[in-house]
Amino acid sequence: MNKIGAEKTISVYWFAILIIVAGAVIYMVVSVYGKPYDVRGAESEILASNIADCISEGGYLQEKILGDASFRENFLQRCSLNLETPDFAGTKGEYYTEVNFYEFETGTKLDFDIVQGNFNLKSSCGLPGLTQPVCSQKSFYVIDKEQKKYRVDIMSIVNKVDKNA
Amino acid sequence: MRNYNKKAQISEGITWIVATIAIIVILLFSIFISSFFFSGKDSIRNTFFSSDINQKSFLSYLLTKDQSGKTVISQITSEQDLNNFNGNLGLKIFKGIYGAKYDTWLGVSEISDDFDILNLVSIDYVGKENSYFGKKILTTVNAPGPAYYGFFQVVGLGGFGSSLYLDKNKEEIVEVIFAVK
Repeated sequence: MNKIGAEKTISVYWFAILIIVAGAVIYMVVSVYGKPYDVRGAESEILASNIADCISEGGYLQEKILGDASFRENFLQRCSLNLETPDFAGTKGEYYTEVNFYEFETGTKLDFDIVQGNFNLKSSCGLPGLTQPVCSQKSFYVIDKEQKKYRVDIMSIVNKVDKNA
Repeated sequence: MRNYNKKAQISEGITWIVATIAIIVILLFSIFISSFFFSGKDSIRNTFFSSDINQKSFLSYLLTKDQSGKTVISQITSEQDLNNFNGNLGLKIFKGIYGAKYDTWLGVSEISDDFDILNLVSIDYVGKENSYFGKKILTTVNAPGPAYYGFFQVVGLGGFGSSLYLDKNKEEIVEVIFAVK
């Protein structure tokens, strides 16, 4: 009789320990993997990097870019970029990119820029908080084949707040 | 006999209590570790991608010609140091464009005497002080890999750097280093 009672007590004890251990494991897994990884910063950097690769190759500005209206109009196609976001139906776009060119010596902005994506995202750039779009501002120095010097500024913005923040 | 059984029961009970406490302590420690050290990693460090764009500036800088038509890389290779043209141009590019975000250093580095016997490579390159960028800044990124000959970059925790060997013996390099402020 006593032996059966002890076994019951031990069974209850093991059951309690099992629940505690399982609960702790679940808590740890949720605390580590519960929040989504916010990859928007990396995504905006990759976008800016791809745009830079499209504009500059081998240290020189790609030919037929500056002042070429067809390049501006077909920018996404020419640079093999796809800013469509089928996972975010109903939005005006989750990306925004802007490329500006400056004369390097004087800093004068050239009358040629490239703008693609959802322009409304730009106004939220720099605002604090995880529910704001992530912006990347990159600049680099480049020359063309005639040794003209330029500074290129690339702004890339990724929204995707619903799935990251 | 009854006393003996009671002692045995108490001893066995203490074992269970100690085991229970040990389990709970281990669990609490694991929860503490997971909460404070892993849960904050909800974003990806993006320094790695910055290096691509900054490297473009370095490559264009090396290809820039002076009034005599000599490229910066040719000037540095022959003079083994920065001169008035490429020093000031370097300042304008690397301090001007990147100075707000990074501490930058541009200059020529020589192979050091420290040698990694296992990999048969120099451990580091010692930067020559120049009058434009001063002394080479110390980062975790200025150790080139052994297999490269040509343009390469190293990305570390504190920043990144791009380098180009100036001679076939790999004894000198021109490099730019970006250390995150």
